[in-house]
Amino acid sequence: MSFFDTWEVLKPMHNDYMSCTEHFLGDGMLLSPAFPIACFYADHISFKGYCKRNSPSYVMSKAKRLLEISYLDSVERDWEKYRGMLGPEGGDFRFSVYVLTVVVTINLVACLFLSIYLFLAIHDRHRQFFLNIVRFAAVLSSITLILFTSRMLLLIQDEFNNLGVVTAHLIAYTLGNRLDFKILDFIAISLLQFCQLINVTRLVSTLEEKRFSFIAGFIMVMVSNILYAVSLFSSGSDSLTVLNPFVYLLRIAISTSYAAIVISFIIAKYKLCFINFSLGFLSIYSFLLVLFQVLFFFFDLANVWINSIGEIFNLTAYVASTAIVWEWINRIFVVQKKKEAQSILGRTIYAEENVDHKIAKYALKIQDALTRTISTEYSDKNSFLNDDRSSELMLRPFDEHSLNAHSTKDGKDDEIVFNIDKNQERVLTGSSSMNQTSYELSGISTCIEDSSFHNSQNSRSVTAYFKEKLHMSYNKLIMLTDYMLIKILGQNSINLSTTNGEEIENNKRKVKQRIGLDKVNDVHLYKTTDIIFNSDDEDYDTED
Amino acid sequence: MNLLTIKRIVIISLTTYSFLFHIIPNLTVPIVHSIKLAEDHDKVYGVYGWCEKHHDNICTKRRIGYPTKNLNASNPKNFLPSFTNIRVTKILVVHPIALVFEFLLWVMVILSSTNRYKNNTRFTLICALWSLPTFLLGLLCLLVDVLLFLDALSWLGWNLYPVTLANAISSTLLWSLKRNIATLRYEALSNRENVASQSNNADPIEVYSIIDIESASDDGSLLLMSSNRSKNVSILQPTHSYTVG
Repeated sequence: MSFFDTWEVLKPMHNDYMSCTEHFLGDGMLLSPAFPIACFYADHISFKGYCKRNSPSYVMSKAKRLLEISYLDSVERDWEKYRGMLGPEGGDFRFSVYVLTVVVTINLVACLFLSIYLFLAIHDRHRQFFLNIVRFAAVLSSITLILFTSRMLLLIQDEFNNLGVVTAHLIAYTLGNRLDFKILDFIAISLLQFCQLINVTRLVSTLEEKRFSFIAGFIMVMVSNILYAVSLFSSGSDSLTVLNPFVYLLRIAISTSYAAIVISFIIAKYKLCFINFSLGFLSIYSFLLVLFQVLFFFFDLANVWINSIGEIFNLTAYVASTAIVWEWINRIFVVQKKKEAQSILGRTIYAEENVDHKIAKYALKIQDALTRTISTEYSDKNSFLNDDRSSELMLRPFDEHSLNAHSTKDGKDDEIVFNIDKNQERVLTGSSSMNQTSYELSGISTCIEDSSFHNSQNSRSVTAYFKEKLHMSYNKLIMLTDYMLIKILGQNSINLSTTNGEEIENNKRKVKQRIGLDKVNDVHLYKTTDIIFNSDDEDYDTED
Repeated sequence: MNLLTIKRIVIISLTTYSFLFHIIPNLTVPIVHSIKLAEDHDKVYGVYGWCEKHHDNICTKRRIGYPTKNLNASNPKNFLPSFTNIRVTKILVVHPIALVFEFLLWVMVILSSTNRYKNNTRFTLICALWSLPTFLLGLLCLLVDVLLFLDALSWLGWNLYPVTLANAISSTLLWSLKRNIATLRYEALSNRENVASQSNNADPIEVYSIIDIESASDDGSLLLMSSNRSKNVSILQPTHSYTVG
């Protein structure tokens, strides 16, 4: 939480106030109840205003003129200058400590409320892990804000006791730029951004789109957070002046992208989003919440309302736009799943899932990987090339007689096949010096592929090696994302936690009735009937 | 004109619009004196420098980030309309980067409408993926301009807002197009398979509409709704019922 970053110009403040320096007024009358004599004539009067941190300390009674005596010109000019500042070191009411205190307190209350709401009202057993991350981030945000508010109140108290006036200056520049708050802020926002990415992944339909949106979003979030961490822990460099606003704007851009995705979902599925009053209300609420950060950015730039409101509400806006949208998506999916359950297939089937035989290819890939693993493990275990018995086997003709000898030795029918296969594999796996004819003897295509893989390993080029490594990395990445999406996110089953008990019972009864489990003790006999087509009947009629 | 063609036309139009309005900010002062990104009392700002209005349009050298040493009349602290530090102007570098991204997207979109890549799902997917950073960079351009120049921004700067919207719409349409192409490919594939199976098999499998078939018995014989309906007997009604226990 930093109110004024280094990229903003520091407003003129040092020694700019004339009233803070001593200047001579000449001779004249002095009036004050604080003096031993209330009114007296003095020579060579000099004046110096009460200033702290090179700026005048004004109190509220300044504005109320009890006597019709004008202030010194230098004091009047400085007051105008003070009011004309755009920052907590001066400025009008919106920059004062009163507004800051109220806004920070409201922010704390809102964040605490959201954290409690997350624990009490939002349940998602299918994505419990990610929900726990959101909860953790919300708690972290609340702790940060509690610490910040309490520190702020203590500072205000100290300043009031020591100086007699309270300004927002100390809070903004001393407390707002503390590293511990910034680190807590960084961790909380990183986690919340990741959870926003999970929300986006849930919003897109097909698995392929989920996969790509997850990868693209993850890269974006990582880049943003790495740059932020760099700007957080490095100081004093010239490039930092550029990095800070860039990271700030990147965060705003990512939030805007998130808002754009949520809003486009609302527009695309507006019938579903406004199917009833509560869901419609939640949709509008989510719509506003995701736009908060963008609106606050423009508020901050325009200084229209409260100074740095975007920075103050940053954490709460992140928590709200994650938690509330999470609940909104849950409810949307409940309605969507109910509608889909009424259809024939029970869920939406996309053509992309079946095109190019992706499922079959994936199964073959798994099969291939398993075959390779078994083969490699077996060859390693038996250290074929150093085994004399295996060498003997390799030279032995591969006929039925030798296989039968093995089977007789083991004596179990179900192990015969296994032994044959193992022997074949043993011969072929370690046969790097064998000629092509020995491969032809086996006649097992999978083993040939396997052995040719081992055989060509020495001769393949560096390019092919890297290509294969790249392919393996790609496969691993896909497997990881698929694990995330299918095992954890893909289970978009109906979350019944938001419905009441009676409705659950009704749904259970309907499902039981539909699949015939309501009368389990009843046995029905159906008569088989010959197929009679209407068209056939008509043909017969016409023939008759 | 089918839906796919309309989508392609819309995507090309939007991308061309975005591309054009990413070119123009890159031509602002000091490259072309009549085009300005923002205008203050006595200064005109561009992506690669700035010019003074009242001194015969004296301009700075073309570079990323405004130079502070030239034109001694300017105060670096109060130089920009937003009172932002002048060194921050280096982030105007997002403009040329966004232009490169936009150009590549435009080329890819044009290519995707040619016969070679028209039905290529992978190429459309690449286009759709590329549109994401393009959108983000366009948005960053707008945010940077607003941050630096505030209300001094000219119409060219504010025009980046509809450009960003156009980017968002074209990105959405590209994802939608990718799904449409996949569906078309799947339909073409299934049609081809059906034709192949019918030509290879002497006795092709007869296909019935799912509406006509209500259930199928274990031995594969079909129970037709129409045959039972004529006898006013429900197909789900069993002939005999027993209760166990």
